[in-house]
Amino acid sequence: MDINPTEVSVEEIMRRIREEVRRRKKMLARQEQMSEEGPSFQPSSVKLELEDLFFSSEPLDISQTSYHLRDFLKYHDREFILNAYRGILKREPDPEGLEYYLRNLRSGQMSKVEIIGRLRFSPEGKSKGVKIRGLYLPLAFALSYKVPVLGYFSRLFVGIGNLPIIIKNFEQFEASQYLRWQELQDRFQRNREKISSAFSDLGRQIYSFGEKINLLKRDIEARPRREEIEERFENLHLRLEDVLASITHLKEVQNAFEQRLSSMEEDSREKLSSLQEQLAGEVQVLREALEGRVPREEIEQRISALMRQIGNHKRHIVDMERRLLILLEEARKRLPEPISEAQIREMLKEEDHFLDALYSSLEDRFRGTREDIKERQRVYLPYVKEVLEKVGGGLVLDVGCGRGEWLELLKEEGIEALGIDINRLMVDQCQELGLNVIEGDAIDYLRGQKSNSFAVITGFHIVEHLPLKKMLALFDECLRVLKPGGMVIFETPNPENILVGACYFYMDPTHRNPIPPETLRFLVEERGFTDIKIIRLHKYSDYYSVDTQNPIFNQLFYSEMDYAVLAYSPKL
Amino acid sequence: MRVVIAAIQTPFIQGGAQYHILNLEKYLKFSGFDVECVTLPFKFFPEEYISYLMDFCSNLDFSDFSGYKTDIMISLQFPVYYINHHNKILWIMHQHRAVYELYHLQNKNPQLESLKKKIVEFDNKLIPLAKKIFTISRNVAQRLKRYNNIDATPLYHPPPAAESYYCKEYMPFIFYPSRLESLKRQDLLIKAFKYVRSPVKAIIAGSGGQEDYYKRLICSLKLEEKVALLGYISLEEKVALYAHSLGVFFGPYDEDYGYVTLEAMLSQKPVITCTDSGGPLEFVIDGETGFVVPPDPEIIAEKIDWLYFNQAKAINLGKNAKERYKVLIPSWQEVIETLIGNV
Repeated sequence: MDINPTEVSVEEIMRRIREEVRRRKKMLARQEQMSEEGPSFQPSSVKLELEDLFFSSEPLDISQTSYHLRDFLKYHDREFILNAYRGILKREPDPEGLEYYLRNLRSGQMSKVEIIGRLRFSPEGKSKGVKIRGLYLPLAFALSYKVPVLGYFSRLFVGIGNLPIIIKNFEQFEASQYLRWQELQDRFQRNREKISSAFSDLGRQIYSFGEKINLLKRDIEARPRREEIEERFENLHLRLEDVLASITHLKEVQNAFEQRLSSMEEDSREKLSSLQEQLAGEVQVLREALEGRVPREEIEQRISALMRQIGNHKRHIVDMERRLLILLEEARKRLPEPISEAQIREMLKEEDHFLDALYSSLEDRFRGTREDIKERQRVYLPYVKEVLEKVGGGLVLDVGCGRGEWLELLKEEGIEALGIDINRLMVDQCQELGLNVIEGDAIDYLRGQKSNSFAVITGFHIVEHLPLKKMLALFDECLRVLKPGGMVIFETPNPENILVGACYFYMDPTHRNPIPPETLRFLVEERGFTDIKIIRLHKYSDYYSVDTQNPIFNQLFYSEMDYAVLAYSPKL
Repeated sequence: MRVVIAAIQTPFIQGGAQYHILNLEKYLKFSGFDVECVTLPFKFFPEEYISYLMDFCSNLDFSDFSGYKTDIMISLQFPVYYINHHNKILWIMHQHRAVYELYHLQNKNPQLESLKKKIVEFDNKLIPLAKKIFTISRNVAQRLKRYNNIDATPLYHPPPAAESYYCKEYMPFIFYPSRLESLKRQDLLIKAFKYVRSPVKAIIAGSGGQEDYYKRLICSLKLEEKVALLGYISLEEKVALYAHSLGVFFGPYDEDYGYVTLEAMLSQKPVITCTDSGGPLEFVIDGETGFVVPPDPEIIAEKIDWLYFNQAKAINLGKNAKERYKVLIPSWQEVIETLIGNV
């Protein structure tokens, strides 16, 4: 222990103190943890001195083959016999032998010399042949003691002769025994002290043990009973099952989420690349525009001028339609001669076209953008390709092709296709796009075709425009001109969706009646098509954000807005 | 066997008394008794409340609670030791000090005067009704004899968390943990540091009413480098500070018992105390386990320097103190045997 001679500030003292407190807290926490594992009971380690005093003399060297009698005689009692065996017979005594000689030695029946002699001259002793100097004479005397009468004198004779030695030995023996006795007493005293201090230690420990037991007892009393535990366990088990179910559900959700994520990723990658292309195109256009040094304002002005012009033209056309109609009417009334049949047909034909412009505008307004339509129609490509493969190729006919989105899609996919539409404006539009389209009435056209002419015939939003007779005629003609295994696709609004059936269907005033899917299926089946499939498409909620909590409401209002019937002509 | 402890509490004020009663309860439970501690709220003023509480207690009987008979009642405090019980054991911490040994320090008024009369009368009459009367120290027993002529046996007990204390190599500072109250006289230690020549510091821990005064005193004596007021410290910090201190100063005025002395002794540290400090005088032997000096800063400073300049001897004083603790202070087990035995 030393004191720092220089000054130590209170801050320094407190720093060291806090450091120590931290250290000790850690240590105590460890101890606490250990003691919580059960009451620690440390038996006092009492080391008592218990070594046998009587065996403390130097052990006999048993490796020798020659001894002096003295070597053995210096041992006493049990140790004497042990060493005699070890020296003479080179082994540990058997229990019977030890017991026998010890009894005889202690009772005075045999002297040490006689025991040595008996061991040495036993068959075993002879075979070992250990040499013992100074044995023969004493042995002779010792044995002679056992001869009656002579024994007494012989013992007396030897006894008197040996008296000084005996006295000396006896004194030595007494002195050594006294020393041993002294040491034993000291040892006894020391052991007694150790034991008594161990006992008082034990007492303290038992007391603290008692404290711990009392604490434990209270602890145990405070614990819930078995039934309670079982009930809790049961509850826990149920909850565990719930948790497991939730985990499974969560996994499913996660999987779905991951799938969606990856598809979204793909999607967005595609979109990004198409956007990039688009952007690159636009940049190119812009660059060209810039190179042409046409100022932006001028372009905008030109565009708006064009728009105005288009509007004017449109109004003008509508007006002309109206006038033409009146003119035709007037002409019919005033013609001096009856109009020939051909003239009438020609005129009626013209009349048929007077709604073309209106329908074209209607389509533009309500049908959706060109890209949307194309995107939606992609769903049919796999069916078409499958059929083409099966029937060994062939032409796809699109009945009422309208603005030609589907034809364009087929062209992009490298599928040969032909469109037919009754609307002249639309046909013009399609032809401008380089699509293979003819103007005319579909049923009339089909009637003029040979059977086995087409692999696939499609009609998007056509059948709802037709009266039943025409519709059936269309189906019949289709079945006739299709190759065996060929397919028709007719897409139409789905009145299962209440919004469609009640409202959207009538956005197009040229629509007749909504056709429920099962009705359409029945009709095509009835006319001889097979393998009929209904595909419901264009879920409201895929296009508009809606609350998806109420399933019935969703089914009625937000389900698929269109459906298609896919039907096959029977194979041969 | 059911033992009920009757005690008082002054809400939010923590002191040795609380620990004393908590430990008594704890060790009675360890010894297998069924123990419940019942406390009444106490406050030092107004005098009327004390008087009311005395009447209330002297009319109570804790022998029986709705048919639950209690075998023994132990009470340590005024005025709950007036509560009646057929087997009442008193182990008095102190009487109402303001009307006895501290009476000369009070502002006298007629209310206090009449309260004093009433308390002496109650003490004289009701304390002797107990089966056994112990006090926590010889000092308290002597007061009881002097003021009320009642004989009582002092019965010491170990301080709280007695097993936590240990001794480590010391750093040069004198430690004094206690509430900062005028009776504890931390100012004696502060003033002593005007005279201390060695590079020893004073570390004073605890909080209390005199904190501001002591701060100002340190400032005015320019002892900021020498004397530190730590405020509240944790038990672990207290124990570690004891373990590393050069010595402990504990010089209150007429303390009843004083855990600080015992904690210092358990930490093998010499204690410097004063001739009028009461309880500590029963434990500190001047020149053997510490020093007993007049309440004089200059003499206190002399002893502090002595501890610093006589390291080996200072360590020996500490060792002697620990030995003396072993001789004087019984274990809780023994305390409980003495308290309850033969009842």
